[in-house]
Amino acid sequence: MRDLVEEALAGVGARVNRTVLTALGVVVGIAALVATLGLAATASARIVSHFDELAATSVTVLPSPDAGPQRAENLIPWDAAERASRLTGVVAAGTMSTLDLPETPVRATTVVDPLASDVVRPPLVAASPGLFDAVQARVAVGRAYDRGHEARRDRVVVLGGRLAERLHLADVGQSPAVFVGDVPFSVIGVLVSVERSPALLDAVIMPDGVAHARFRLAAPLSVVLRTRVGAAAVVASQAPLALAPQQPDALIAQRPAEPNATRAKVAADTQALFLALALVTLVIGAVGIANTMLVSVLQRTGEIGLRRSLGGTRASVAALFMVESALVGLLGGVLGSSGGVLTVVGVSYVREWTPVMQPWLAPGSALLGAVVGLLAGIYPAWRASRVEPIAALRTDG
Amino acid sequence: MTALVELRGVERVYPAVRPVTALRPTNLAVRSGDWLAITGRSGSGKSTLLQILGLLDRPTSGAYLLDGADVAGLSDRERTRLRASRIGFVFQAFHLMPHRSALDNVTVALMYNRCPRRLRAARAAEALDRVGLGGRVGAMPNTLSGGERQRVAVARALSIRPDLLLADEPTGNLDSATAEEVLTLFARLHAEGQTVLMVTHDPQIAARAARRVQVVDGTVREVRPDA
Ligand SMILES: Nc1ncnc2c1ncn2[C@@H]1O[C@H](COP(=O)(O)OP(=O)(O)OP(=O)(O)O)[C@@H](O)[C@H]1O
Ligand SMILES: [Mg+2]
Repeated sequence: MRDLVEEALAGVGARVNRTVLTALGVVVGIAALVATLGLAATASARIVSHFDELAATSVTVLPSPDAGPQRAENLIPWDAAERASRLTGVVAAGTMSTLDLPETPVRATTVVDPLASDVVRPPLVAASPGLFDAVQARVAVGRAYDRGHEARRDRVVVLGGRLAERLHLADVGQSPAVFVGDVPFSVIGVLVSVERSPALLDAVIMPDGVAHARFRLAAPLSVVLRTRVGAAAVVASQAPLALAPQQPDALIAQRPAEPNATRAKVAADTQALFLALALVTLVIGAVGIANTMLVSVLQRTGEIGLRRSLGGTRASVAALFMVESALVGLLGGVLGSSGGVLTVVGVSYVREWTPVMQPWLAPGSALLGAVVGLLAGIYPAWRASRVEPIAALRTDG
Repeated sequence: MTALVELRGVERVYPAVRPVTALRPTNLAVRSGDWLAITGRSGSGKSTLLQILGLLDRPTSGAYLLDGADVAGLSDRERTRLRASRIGFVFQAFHLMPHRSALDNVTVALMYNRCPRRLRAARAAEALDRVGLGGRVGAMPNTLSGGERQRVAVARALSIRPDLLLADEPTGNLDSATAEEVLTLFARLHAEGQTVLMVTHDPQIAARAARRVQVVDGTVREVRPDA
């Protein structure tokens, strides 16, 4: 066996350039395979890690559904955000209350097109200034309101980006007004992205004080906390007591639920396409190896005849060509696998992802290259074993 | 003393639309230590005879006794094993593997001979030494002269210590001076007791051998030295 591999290595090594060229198809096929599977693993790990990060740093405190409607009314104090901020591990905190005024129309005054429906009924949300940081909202134009607005009970709102689009309020430079019901507000900012509470992109967000004065919000309905990584569990256990010392059991602290799998499914579809391409390339690579090995058999009939005259059996000649073919495939597998890994690492570097790969992927695909080579070698090896030594030895060389 | 090799009525007919009788029924005995030259015109059947003796080819009919045992009817596998253990070939075209060193070209024979790995390099070097190439073990074939290449081929055949050394036109690709190198080597091997069978169409070269047979149209005839 060792003899066989050594002989095959010598045979392959004697024709390095040809070997590398022959392996090219397998190199590309294996590289595509590894890159596809590796990037898929990296992407799904990213989805998971993104989710893990949220889970590890998000806590929402709500009145417990078990508490009666009366008690739920005034459970969370107005200064809940400040109180929660004092807990160790809390990075940002804000109250968030969706006002129970579903039929309240919101109109923009700067509508140009008279035919466009300028009345929408978006969710109305009251929030303390700290909420923007707590949900990692990004304000694209204008600014978020602050404690000053809150204290003065200024009639200001921040609009979610999607809502602003529907109201044609892209430019808030001139502080356009919107009417919430009959009450005019000036729009001071528009959110472009909200990491943790995407629903806010469709909402009108106003300070707690105004909501209390104008829309009879009795008390905040929830507190959103962003914590340091890993602190969520501890914060969740302490928050109810900190916010409602008299009746901590009436509050519950929630952690986010599993994200849905649509994104992963989309990825799986494109992945299947790339895998199919990788397999087609591998088949082409196999045909390439088979072809070169066949040429090699014809060129080396003299050597085959010699080996037979020295006492090599038909089987040993066949095995030699099989192993040579497998070695070419293995070389292609190793090169392709390295290329695939580099691709995954490179793409991850550019996208600032953490490259993730199943541990068996690189060695497994290198071996797959060897298997492809072995299969490609079957027919040439059979031809080699059929060479008649007498005829072969008549040739020169 | 029984013969090392004995052909009894061996005939070889190549099947074709008009079958070619390359060898007519032949009797030939070779004793251990003989140096035999086989001469004859081109196409007379010399190579056919040598291939049968070397177990590369099978007689159409007749018996081939190797050490008294009939090997004519053996299977392909059994004849292959006998070639590996008892027969050394030298060819007109050398048949060295171009990308392997002189030593590697010899060890390949020992590999098929099932010589243990650890002994191979030493025995190959010893064989190269016997043919006067002890200093060129690492040389690649394309750096060797024709005579040196053929001596590597002889070393390869000798390395397995064959009972029978068979050479088909070993000097056919060499000029007369280099041919003389190889013949001197054969003479020495003969003196050391090696059985050598050599095909040649050159009467002068044949004259160097201890014993001569001539093949004429597939018929093998002994040539008396005084004839
Ligand atoms: N495979 C074959 N099929 C048919 N005829 C063959 C075959 N091999 C050899 N012959 C014929 O058998 C005869 C003897 O051939 P052989 O090769 O033994 O001659 P030779 O004496 O070695 O000739 P040379 O000196 O040219 O090498 C020739 O007529 C040849 O044409
Ligand atoms: Mg001949």
